[in-house]
Amino acid sequence: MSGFSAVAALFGLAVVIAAGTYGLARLVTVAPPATDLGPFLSGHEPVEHAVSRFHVRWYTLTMIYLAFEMEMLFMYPWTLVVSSAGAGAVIEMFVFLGILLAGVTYAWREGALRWA
Amino acid sequence: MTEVPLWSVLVLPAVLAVITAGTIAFDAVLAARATGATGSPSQTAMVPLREVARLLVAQRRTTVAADGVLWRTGVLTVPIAALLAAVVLPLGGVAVADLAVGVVWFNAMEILTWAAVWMAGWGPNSAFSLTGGYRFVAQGLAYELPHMFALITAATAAGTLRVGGIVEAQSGLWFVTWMPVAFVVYLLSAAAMAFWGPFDAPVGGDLAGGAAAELSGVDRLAFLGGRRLLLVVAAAMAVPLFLGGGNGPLLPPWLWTLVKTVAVLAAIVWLARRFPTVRMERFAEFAWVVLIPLTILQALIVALVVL
Amino acid sequence: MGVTGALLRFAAGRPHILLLEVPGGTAERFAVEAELRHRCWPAAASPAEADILVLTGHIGAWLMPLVGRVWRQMPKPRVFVHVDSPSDVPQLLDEGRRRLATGGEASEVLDGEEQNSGESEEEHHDDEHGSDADRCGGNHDDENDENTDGGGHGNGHGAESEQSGGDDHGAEDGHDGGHDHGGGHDHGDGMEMPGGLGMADRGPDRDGLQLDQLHVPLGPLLPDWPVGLVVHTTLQGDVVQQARVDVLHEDGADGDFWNEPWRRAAAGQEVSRGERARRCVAAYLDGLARLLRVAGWLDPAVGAGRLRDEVLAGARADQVTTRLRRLVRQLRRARTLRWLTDGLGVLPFDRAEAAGIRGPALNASRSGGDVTARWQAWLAEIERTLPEVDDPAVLPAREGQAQGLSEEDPASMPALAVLPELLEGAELAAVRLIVASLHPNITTLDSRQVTGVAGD
Repeated sequence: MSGFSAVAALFGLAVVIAAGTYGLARLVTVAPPATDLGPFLSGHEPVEHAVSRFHVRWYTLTMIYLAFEMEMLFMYPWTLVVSSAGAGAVIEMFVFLGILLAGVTYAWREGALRWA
Repeated sequence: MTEVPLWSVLVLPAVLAVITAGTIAFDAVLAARATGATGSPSQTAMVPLREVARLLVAQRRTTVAADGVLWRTGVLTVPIAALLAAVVLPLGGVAVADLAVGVVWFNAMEILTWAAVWMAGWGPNSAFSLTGGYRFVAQGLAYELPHMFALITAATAAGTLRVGGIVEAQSGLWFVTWMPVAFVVYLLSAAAMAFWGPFDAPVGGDLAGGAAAELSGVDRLAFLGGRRLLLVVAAAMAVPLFLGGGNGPLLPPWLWTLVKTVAVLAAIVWLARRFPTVRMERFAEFAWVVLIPLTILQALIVALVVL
Repeated sequence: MGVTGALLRFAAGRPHILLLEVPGGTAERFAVEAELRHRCWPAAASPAEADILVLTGHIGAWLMPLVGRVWRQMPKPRVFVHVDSPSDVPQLLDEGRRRLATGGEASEVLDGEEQNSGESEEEHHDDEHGSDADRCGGNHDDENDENTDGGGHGNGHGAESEQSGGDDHGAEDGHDGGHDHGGGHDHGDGMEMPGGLGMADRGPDRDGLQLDQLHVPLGPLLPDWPVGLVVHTTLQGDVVQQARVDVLHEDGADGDFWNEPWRRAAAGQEVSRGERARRCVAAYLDGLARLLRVAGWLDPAVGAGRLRDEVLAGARADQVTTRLRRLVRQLRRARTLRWLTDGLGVLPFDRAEAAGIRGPALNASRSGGDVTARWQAWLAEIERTLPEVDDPAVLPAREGQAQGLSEEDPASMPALAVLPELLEGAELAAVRLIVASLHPNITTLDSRQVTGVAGD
């Protein structure tokens, strides 16, 4: 057994453990699940559903993050070849990172990294 | 890729469960010390077991108009992703699967918690939970990039993404000695990805438990147990990445791995109690303006060394 | 179920406690906190986490349905403990654990509530929608209002509610009651919205966007929240767009804990200066403990709570000074805490003065006026007052009357008046910190006055 077949075996085991735990809990629990409870609101009742278009204030941060995340896709394979590809690979990668950091600096100056 | 015996698949969850229980007990010891009460050692050792028993017998609950499927998927993803992330952990020389892309695999599994915590927060249709779930996404945006640069730094030094290869590359000098920044950032992000203190805002007391606010019974066990498991796995990963894996004098490699893992965990759990909860609206700035440039600099230095 | 029984007994060794304080329960809360520290029982943050609900203070008519709701949100096995007197706490907790070990049960105080919910649950499981529909087909609001009040307490409490709560509360109560049971029962009735709730409405945001708004009340039954305070927030995401402050005032609650020495002095009893100083130090330590818990820094919060209890129990100054100074020093040096509380809830000096804020909160507004400045002002006040705790000189009765709350209490009512403006635009974590830093001490106030000042 090797590689991803071991991963598959472990995943199977994880599912079995989870199912076993839930099954055990079902056997020993003191009561069947309580349904349709109100959410905890300090003792008050909700007046509307909590699920809503949540106003996240870090949209801009998300955008910069995506730029870096794309860069990561290149950087993982880059680690494997950097010593054989030589100085060129290092220069290219870090110039690229430098350009991204310039973007971060701009976003920082614009206040995108602090949203209170 | 070496063949690994089937028993390692069975041993891994057992070892992790024991270490996780130990982590909970150690945290309970620290909590007891703060209160000035002198709990007996046997009582403290019982804490994780009592918690499990308590959550097994407790009633499960669902809220009005909850999205049950999403909610439970999120809850169960946390422990399963944590366990799957652990496949690449070498115990001594043996990992369940020493994948060629081990570091990326670990990264991918650990990042599943973003989705998991958000789903667990959205599911119960409760304002506090929902806010907790979103808090974790914001947290991810702050810790993840420094974390990935730290991973990449170690991989660059070894010239491989295979965790076993990274350990072999440290047979002489441990990576922590010449990439301390990456190591420290890794420890920070280990706490952050498991939303452990001081990064516990997603399940913070100020939100009545945040993403975990509406969880009870075995669901709570899966979610919060999975979170502790993730902390253990993340801390254990620091050992092959930076602390030389099983390398060390006298003791056998598997024992060295365990000793180092426990030391890293103890440090994280102890440090977590030394700081108040860090809010992302403040920390994101620090992460992006200080930690990311520092880790990039660290990666640059390492890249220049391996040239 | 032998296994279940054994697990219950084993798990009951370390129950999670949801500790809630309502007006009139301060001394009891301290006793409970001390006992929990002693037993190493963890505090629960929400009903879902809790095994035992411990309530201190007077539960009046307005609070009753809220307590019932929190109780029903707890998973079984669950136990309700109402603490009436600090000295009962160890027995009550022991008994609570014993009851938990045998499976928990309905509480006496909440019997009406529990029976009600038990019934509906059984129906739900046994015959699904059939009898549900029968029960809820008609005007379920009326029927359920009766049920909420429950057999014994029913009429008496209803009448009391009208008197004590005033129009404001009365109206809200009815409204809540309707929703409560609508949410629980309407399940099979073919309501259009799931759970009988509407979706969030939209409102303009500060950036000119139309965004969903949630209405989330904070308090009164929230751990680490000022007693009796209710802040009705309108949220967009986790940002407060609007905050309305309301105060819970129940008839029958005893006088406030914190100004007891002044009251006794005013009534002509002999009260020493030391006793007054003790209340001051304890009040700031209690505020500090709450702020630190809200900030997620539990260890020093526990330390502050311990010192508070020792000071109140009459420890001599030299017994606590060393540890107190160590705590103060630790907090002064806590750069992370400062970083996290800097710039939150800034109260400018003119505004503070105009609102009538006095004491350390006013001093704090001279040096920044943010949450950091306020907790640092408490530290200074603790250090200044500590040497006086052993002063045996008698407090003149006149001073008792004149000073009232002034010194030991950070000017409760003005704090509530400025609260809405400080909270608007803050996110939830900041809201908790700002409220904790103002340490509004509410139980001494008359609710109508405050609503008049702060309500909008």
